[in-house]
Amino acid sequence: MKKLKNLIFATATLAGIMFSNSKVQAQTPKLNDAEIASVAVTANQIDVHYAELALKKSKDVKVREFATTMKNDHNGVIKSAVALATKLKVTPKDNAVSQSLNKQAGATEKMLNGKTGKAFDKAYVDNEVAYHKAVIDAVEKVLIPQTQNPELKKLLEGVLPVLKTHLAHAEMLQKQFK
Amino acid sequence: MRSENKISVAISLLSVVLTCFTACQNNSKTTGKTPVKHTVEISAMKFVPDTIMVHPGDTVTFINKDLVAHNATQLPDSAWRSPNLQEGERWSFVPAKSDSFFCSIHVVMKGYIMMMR
Repeated sequence: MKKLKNLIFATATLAGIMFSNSKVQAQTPKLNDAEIASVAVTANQIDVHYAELALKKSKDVKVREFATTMKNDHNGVIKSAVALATKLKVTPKDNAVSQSLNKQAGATEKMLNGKTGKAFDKAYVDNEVAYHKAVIDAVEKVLIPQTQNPELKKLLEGVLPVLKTHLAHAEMLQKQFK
Repeated sequence: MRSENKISVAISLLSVVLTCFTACQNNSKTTGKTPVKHTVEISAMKFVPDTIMVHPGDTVTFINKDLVAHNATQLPDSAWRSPNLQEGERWSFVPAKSDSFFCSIHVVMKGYIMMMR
């Protein structure tokens, strides 16, 4: 249980660590548009992987519906991001932030894989709440402000309400596990 | 006498016809409004507007302007439901009564159709 809480906390504070806020301005990564595109695609891919895991392991109808929405929506955002990057002739560039996101996601997937039944459902939904909070924070405070290309900025601004709606949905589900 | 009866019946019938005609005209004045087309944009994960006031015969059209798919589904028992609308797609229907609705994909997105009689 303690390990689970630590992992959720780690995910929740990921944006705070990676993307920073006023307390740790010095750690705020400077990203160019190619790196921002990579972070955006990576962050969406991670949630698709979580959703695929939930669809494989959960029997709860509401959790499965939520996971289906996550898979479809985040795949849709990836498709839009890749199409835009192709149009702008920007090749997403791997960077420390993308790598850190993937490393953290690997640990979270391992934790989720170790659970079954209701314990899995609760851990998945708790992680979705924490993850979406972290990503919303990163998109608002780092990715959008640092994006130079107006079309990429517009895409990220368009994704923000999607993420916020996912968070509200996840928080609604979370209540059923309390 | 027989002739008077015929005239009386004719006058009665005419009276009934005139009464019906007047009643029908009055009825059309209250309910025979030209149907209106209402548009609901689905934008930034919201139904805009989220409350639509309609009259019998009006049409409501949902247009998805978001990156992700949405639908409009009647609450609580899905009595009517749009197909899943991809970006740029639209769906129209003629509401029969007041109804709450939501997007069954993103269950926190809700709206209300208010039927004005």
